[in-house]
Amino acid sequence: MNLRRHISGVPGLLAVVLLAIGALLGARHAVGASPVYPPSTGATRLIFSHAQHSARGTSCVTCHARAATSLSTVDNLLPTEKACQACHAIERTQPNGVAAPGPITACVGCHRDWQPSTVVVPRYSAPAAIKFNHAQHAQTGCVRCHGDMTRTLPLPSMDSCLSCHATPATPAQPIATSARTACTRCHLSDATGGLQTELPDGALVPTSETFGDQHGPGFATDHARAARQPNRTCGSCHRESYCSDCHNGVSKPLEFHVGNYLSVHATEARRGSPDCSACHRAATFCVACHERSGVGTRGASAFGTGDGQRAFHPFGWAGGLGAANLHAGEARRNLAACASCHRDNDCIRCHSAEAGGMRASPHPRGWRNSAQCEALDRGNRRMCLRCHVSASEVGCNWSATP
Amino acid sequence: MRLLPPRELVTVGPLMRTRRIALGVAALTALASAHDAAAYEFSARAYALGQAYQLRSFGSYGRVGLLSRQRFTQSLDLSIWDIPGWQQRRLRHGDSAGGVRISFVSSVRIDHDFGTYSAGAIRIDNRARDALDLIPELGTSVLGLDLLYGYFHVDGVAGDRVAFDAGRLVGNDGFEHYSVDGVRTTALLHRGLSVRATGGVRVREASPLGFAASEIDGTTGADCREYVEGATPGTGRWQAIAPDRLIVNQRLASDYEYCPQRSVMMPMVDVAAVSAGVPWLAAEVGYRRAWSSSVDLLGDVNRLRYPDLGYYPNENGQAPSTGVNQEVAYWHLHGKTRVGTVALRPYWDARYSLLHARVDRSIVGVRAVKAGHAVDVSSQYLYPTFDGDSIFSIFVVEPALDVRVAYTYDAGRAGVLPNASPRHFASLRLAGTFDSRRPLVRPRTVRLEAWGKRFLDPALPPSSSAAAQTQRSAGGMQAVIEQGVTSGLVVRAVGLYDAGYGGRRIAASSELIATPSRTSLFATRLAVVALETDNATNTVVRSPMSESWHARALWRPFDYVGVGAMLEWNHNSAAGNDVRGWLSLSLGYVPEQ
Repeated sequence: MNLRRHISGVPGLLAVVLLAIGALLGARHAVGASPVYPPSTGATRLIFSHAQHSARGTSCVTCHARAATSLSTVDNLLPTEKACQACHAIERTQPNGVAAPGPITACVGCHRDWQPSTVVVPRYSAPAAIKFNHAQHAQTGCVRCHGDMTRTLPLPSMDSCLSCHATPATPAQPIATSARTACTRCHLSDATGGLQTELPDGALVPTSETFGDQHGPGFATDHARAARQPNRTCGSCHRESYCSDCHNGVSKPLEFHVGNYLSVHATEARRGSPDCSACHRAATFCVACHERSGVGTRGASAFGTGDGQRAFHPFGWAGGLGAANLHAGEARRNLAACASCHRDNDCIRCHSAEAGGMRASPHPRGWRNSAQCEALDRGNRRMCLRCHVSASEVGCNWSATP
Repeated sequence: MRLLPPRELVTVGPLMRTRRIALGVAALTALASAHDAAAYEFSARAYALGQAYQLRSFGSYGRVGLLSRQRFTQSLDLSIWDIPGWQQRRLRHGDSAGGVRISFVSSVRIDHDFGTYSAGAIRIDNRARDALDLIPELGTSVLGLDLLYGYFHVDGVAGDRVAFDAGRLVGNDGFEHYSVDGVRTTALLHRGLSVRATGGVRVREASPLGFAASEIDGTTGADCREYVEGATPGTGRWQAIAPDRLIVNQRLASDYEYCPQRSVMMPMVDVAAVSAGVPWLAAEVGYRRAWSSSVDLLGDVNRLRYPDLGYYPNENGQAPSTGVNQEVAYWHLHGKTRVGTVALRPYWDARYSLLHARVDRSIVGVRAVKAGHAVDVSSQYLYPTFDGDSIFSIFVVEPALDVRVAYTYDAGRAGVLPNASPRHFASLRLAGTFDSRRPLVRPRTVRLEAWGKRFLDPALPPSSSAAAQTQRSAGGMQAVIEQGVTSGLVVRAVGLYDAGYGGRRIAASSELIATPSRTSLFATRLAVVALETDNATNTVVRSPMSESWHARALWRPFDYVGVGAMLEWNHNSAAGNDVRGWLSLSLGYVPEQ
């Protein structure tokens, strides 16, 4: 199948994609934040305006009387009808309202869809799956966490918590050592010290960019950036076993190695993207399979060099002086691919500077006196010893020319 | 660590010692964790995975053969928390939960393959030989017992400012993961700065209960065995190379002579300073060094028969007493800011290899998020570097520059659906293989990604014949769209196109994911890939069309009990069919609150 004709369309499609991104970024959605509570954002059936009540000077505790003393999120701090009755002269026997001046008293004033035949069922909201002590925060002030109730979300987001409870202090530890900033200060923990992520409403999954680790679409296969960031919070929810479940090299992760991956893995391996070494080592994992499946170096196979049509490497791959030596380009491009079949003494055979070798220098241009040569010479001469063994060859000023 | 068949025990080598040490460590661990059973909490998970699948074999002309892999992998994760019960005692007395706590965390794995892939024979010159004899690297999968990690964790020291870990630790600097048998300390110095220091012996394949994937890069991690001919030609065996065997050829040019270097202990230190509590910046700067003794001076044995001449290398093939395997400085700078209503996360992650005197990794990027829209732009520079013992370290290599743009749209977060719940995931994770975290109600998600890769000048004339044969760039794009049909039913479609160095691919897949309840999942996927390989480097492995279908089901009948099954069929128009099947059983225990 010839795919060449598709190439010309790539730049155009890229441009369309980028334009779409720009257009969508300009959309007028508000910045998302992860609401701590409630678990569902379903609209309430009550009509209530915080703005109107605030404008009349009603304080928060007038209606939410227990808020200042509550010790736990189990407490229901929503005002009951009795709290409303402090101002609204509600009389259940007169559902259409009492004939008196003052705030509205008719049932439909608050219960918009109420009908005389309707049975009003008290709404139950499950407690938030966090730990929060209102009494401890009484001096903080409601607005600090809840914001301007006349304009914003009715309940605080995690960002508002973090304005005081900053980033966990110690990175990559299963158990945070700073109690004030530990995730478990607010989130429920299990006996191991980690967060409870399976909650009645579903899994606790980062949905905001608070820590830069939003677990959105594609996160399972593209989480390297989040994992690289200092103070990463991965360890708050995930143990090492969570990582090793996928990065184990013994089973194929379906999300990552889609479908008949074995047939197409060479393309990605040669590009080095994704990085195979995240789970595999060339000289063991790759060599074993390549040798066993007949594409290695140690036995006769269908891809031996005897048949030019089937040879694994094309004609002119490697040879003496004057040969095309196509392998040089591929080796420069991806040495790890070479190592997936060859040991380094396969290279030394020709590249050694000693008698018997072809003295084909594998070094980059300007190697002598280069900083890289000097650094390697200082750090590990064992490797130099593979090809250079005489005293006259010591150091980076050595010349093969007598 | 490889558990070799009994016949391999004829040679007394590092693997024998490894086994003894491993047994000792296991016994000590068992003793250490066996007392005072009433005081602590523990969590345990046993995960059994059985796999049966086929691999294509191109060992002979004509029809492509199939090798069977029949694998059983058993892993056991065990964690014991608050071993002396100090924390519980404090809680019972009404004190703070803070204070010193000692815990133990571990994971052990057994992996065994008894299919023809590992246990079969290979016919050469009309003689059948064990595949393992001809390919010693298969020993990795024949029977392995690996301690992935196992360490004691002490936290809550010095007013919750210091924590210790001791044992087999895992680490990740953002560029590579490593394992080390040693100690790690993390301390919060003051608000804004904490330090982390790790010291010990880096885990190698030859380490007690070690495993190949913990090697620095694997290029020096090949099997340390040599083929010893038998009484008649063709009847020999691969045997471990004894580290005290004298060098015969007077230099280390032979892989066999050099091989014992791969079993030498590799001390390692890693220190890092990490920002703590800075709201707009998360920063980390670290340094790591790993080194090893030269094999000719291993222990009391000088493998060379010649006197030390005092300079290195010398005519006798002597090397300095030590060599550096890895020496890097790394840093991560992740910012946090906001422009209007757009949250921005700029970052720069980089690593400088002091052994190679150059930056070998550098990733610069920014993530911009606004409601349900996220754009990631990044550029990665990669200069391949290798273990200091690998001769690949001195080869000319081409660095690469990778530019990537990704856009993600999540309607659930964008607020376009007023009743969309922010918690719309079903959590049914039995193991990584079956990571089945799937949206219960996910209205729509889109991910578009485009990338380009350019291989840079390798300091050779670009007009050289070899350089002209390969393309210098590659690029592609991928689109993923998920659409919730009803509650618990999601359809996903993926399209992919890429071209350039490595080949051209057009691929598409469609997937249906059903989560009828929070304890069950069923998914099926069909994928088609059209592939055209790069002719300049490979004339054989062309796979014009490859199809794959799989179905998998997961069920969690009880808390912490899960079963999974998967069946996959693959077809390649050049090589035929193969099938793959998986069965898994996950058992876990986590204490009640």
